[in-house]
Amino acid sequence: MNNSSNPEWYETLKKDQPLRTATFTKELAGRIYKQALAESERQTALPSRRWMLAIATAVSAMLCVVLLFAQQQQSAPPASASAETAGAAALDPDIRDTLIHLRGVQGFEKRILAEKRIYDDLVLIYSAPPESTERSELFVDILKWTDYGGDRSVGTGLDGWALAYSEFGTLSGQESMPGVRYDGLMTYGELNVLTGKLFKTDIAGILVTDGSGRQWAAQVFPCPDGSRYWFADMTVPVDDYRIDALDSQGKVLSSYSPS
Amino acid sequence: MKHAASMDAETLESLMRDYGQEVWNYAYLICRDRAIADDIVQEAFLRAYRHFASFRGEASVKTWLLRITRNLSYNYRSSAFIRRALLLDRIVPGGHHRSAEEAYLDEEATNEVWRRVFRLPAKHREILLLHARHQLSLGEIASLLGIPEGTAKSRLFGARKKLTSLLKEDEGAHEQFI
Repeated sequence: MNNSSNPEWYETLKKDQPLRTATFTKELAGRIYKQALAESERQTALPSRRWMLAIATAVSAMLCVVLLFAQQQQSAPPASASAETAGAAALDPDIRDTLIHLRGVQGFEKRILAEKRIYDDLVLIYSAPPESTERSELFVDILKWTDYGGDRSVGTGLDGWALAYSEFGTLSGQESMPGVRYDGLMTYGELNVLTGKLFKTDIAGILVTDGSGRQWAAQVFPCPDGSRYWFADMTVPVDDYRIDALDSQGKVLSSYSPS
Repeated sequence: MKHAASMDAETLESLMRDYGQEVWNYAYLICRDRAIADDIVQEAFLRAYRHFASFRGEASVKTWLLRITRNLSYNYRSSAFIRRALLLDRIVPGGHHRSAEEAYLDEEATNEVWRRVFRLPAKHREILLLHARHQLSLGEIASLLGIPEGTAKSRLFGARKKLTSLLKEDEGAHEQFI
């Protein structure tokens, strides 16, 4: 493709800015400049803290080694680290927050309710809106480490997906069994998340059992309107499953099998 | 630009002066939301400032900034898309509404060509901006988008064809009106 084959409107795109008004304003540039300088100042003040942190970490590590050695003398060697988490990258809280908060919505910082490492490269985060909003909404964020082919250092290295669970509009409020609504199955690769709501206070938990007898306890999160969301996340394909509502003693109150 | 381990404030200022608007345009072209574009640009320059050591000088500093901007924009877009799709699924708006961003674009787009570009799908908007406005080669575009050069070429071909046809439609409608 050479310049002579370019359509005539190419020149218009090259010559003119897309928008009439300058949108990268002096105020925006000033804000960035100020923040960059503030970060630099913080960093120059950090070495002494870092040094102290390094000493504290080294001391803790030495204590751990001593304790571990003492334990080994008394009992059998401890089990090796879980293969699932070995070699997994740590989730930087700053990057996590940048990805999961609603950007552009002032003050909307999600409250993290649970954070679960699924695979080496995937984290599942359950969160709620800020308490001040009193919104009965729950979010599921999936963050996945992505290899940008050597460009991880300039990107976050993470991709994010978010799902919002709420009662907007005319969502059918029918209960699947007394006090329990089953809303459906969300899948991402081999990750399966069953979700729904609880409306009766005597229901303490939800247990999902598949055809081969494997069981998963759902996580339950309360909402300001008194209802509760439940989520059961599984890392295996689930075709044939039953949902049991349990009381606080673990007794099955009712069951439901989605067809 | 000289490759250094860290960026000084003066360099940051000069980068913002030279590329601030282009970086903003790129973020806006992907997200089509002014507030989000502001956020992305802010984060892109701060990352460039923090991670200047990772700039290896293989591409121009402008391409490097565009790459950071793209990563941030698509990270945002992929998370925002599902959220919006889910909410839209549950809210049924009545009547025909022009979104605030559409109204803004109709007013603010410099000319009819840009107005039409903003109506194209994101991948077409993006490749036209990079090729026509930034004059990047197909190799540079392919590297920036993380796709093979052949794919970049066919995507560009598709985008040009689509825009040419839209502009011709406009011309036809204008002639009929006269």
